Amino acid sequence: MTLPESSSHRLRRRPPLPLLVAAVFGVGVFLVPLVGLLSRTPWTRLGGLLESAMAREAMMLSLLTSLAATVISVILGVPLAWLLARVEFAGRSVIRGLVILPMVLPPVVGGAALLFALGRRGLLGEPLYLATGFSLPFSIWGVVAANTFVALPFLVLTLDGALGGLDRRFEQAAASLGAGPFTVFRRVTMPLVRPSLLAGTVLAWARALGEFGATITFAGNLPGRTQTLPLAVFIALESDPDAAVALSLVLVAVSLVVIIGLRGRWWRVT
Amino acid sequence: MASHLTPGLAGRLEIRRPGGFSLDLDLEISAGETVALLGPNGSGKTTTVLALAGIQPLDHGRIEIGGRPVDDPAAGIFVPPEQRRVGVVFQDYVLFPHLSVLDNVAFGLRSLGWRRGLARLRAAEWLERLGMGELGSADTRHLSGGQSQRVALARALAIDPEALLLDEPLAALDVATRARLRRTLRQHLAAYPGPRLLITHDPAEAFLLADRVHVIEEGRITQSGTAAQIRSRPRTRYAADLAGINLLVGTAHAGMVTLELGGEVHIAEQETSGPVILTIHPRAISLHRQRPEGSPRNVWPTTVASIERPDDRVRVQLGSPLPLSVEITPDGARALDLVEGMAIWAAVKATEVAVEPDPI
Repeated sequence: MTLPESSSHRLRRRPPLPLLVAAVFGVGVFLVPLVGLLSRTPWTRLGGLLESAMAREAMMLSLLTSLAATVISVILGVPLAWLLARVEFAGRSVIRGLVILPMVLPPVVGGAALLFALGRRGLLGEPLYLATGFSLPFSIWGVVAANTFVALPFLVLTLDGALGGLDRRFEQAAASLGAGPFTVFRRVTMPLVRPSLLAGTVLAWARALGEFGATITFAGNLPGRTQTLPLAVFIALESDPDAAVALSLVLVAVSLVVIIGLRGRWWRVT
Repeated sequence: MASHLTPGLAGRLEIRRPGGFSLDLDLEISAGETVALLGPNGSGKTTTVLALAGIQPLDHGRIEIGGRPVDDPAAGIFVPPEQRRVGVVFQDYVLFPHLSVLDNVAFGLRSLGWRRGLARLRAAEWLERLGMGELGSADTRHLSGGQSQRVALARALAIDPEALLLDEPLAALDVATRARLRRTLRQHLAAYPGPRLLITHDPAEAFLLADRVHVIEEGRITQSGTAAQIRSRPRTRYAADLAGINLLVGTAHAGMVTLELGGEVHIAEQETSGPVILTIHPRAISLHRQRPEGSPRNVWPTTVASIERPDDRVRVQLGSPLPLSVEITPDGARALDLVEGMAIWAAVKATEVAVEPDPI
């Protein structure tokens, strides 16, 4: 934080030493792993490593499943956020808590829960399998389900916050002009929160792209079918550390692009 | 526009809010009549607008607009805002920032099912009528306060509303613009044939724009009447504060204003000419037993028409030629030995007379 120009010289004092030391170590927590990764990067072989069949399959699969999860998150999350922000109903705070659950729950537990619910023997999975012969786990749709589970909260929370901060009079004005609730939603509410919708969508996508625990638990680790980028990194660490580093760099690059793209809006999340 | 003759607006509004605030008032506005709701912040003015527009349902009571009941909890009637056709000019105007000026005005017609092209055509007509024809494609964020106000008015009028509600339509403007726009607003209000409700905390606005004024305090109407009635007999301290502001209409020329009531008043500005409105604060007028000597340019003999003593103050109504309200301290009143009917001298410095161009 900087002080106003005029007073910065007179008022700037050295921060208390214990706070400064701890804060510097705090920065280290973020910086050291990144430096470690970059120091091990085989820059000259990078192109070749990323063109291997395993890498290309993992990247393509990750891209597809994370985008599918993002689309589903938008389709389900926008109405859910609207409901939470605009309709008063019993149990609203319970549902808000439920939305946060996947953010605090260990992803492995989330994956296990998905298995018990949607697995071939699961609560919903069994009747689905018996009726159609289709089952989610160990399929690309299992990856999408796991990704959606972890990604949806980011979209809902971002949008719920934005809707809560929107001046209600825009919607009241639209209603007084003859717009029914759905027209108000479509022609006024959504256009006005579009920046937040965009931010929430990007956050959800980034979260889906990076998902590991729920995916490996629920969808397994089948190369070409359910082995996404994070899973490929984990496997390659054993067999081909250079490939692991290369794939990790791809995810780091995506993360940096997201952070830079969302700067200034980041703090609206929560 | 097909300006059909609209019946009025009638309502008995009862709303209870958590936290103890309650609104409890009766309203009746005929077609072609402007009624002002004049009150301080938090008195329930905006709640009244929201209730009439259908955004805030009544707890008890009944609202009829254009002869049709739109809210009557006892009878189970509630018409949602989008089906009421009540034109609202919100405080700060609340224009849609994501739409152009033209599409803001066309919004209502589009919502009522008009095709885009037709809605825009009609919206452009409305902008033209309000003198904003060239601004259709403008971004609402680049408009001045006065332009925003007219766009908001055009947007509300474009749906051919059954009633027009204006919530502090001039409050967002600077003083100079306010006087100018009060005049055009009066013209636009006069052109709208339905019932018109004006919400304001500014007595000059209420007294100059409205046919009748209701003073509202803490959710209740404490006094109703014409401007003259409220000013001559304020019933609460708040009304007295509002009503005491002396308004005079006249024509300015070379630092002198010839009043409609007769008589002349010196003003400080030499350049102003033409129709003006003068406001004189009651505490700016001093009273004397003999003709005062000194700097005040306006000195005239008059009589004490009435004396009232609300709270710790003394309010004196002067008789002809200028029926002004004067406020003095009890000590001052004792020193003058005031009695009703007595002859007295009044004085006011030219610099204490505020001058605004006339809204008529």
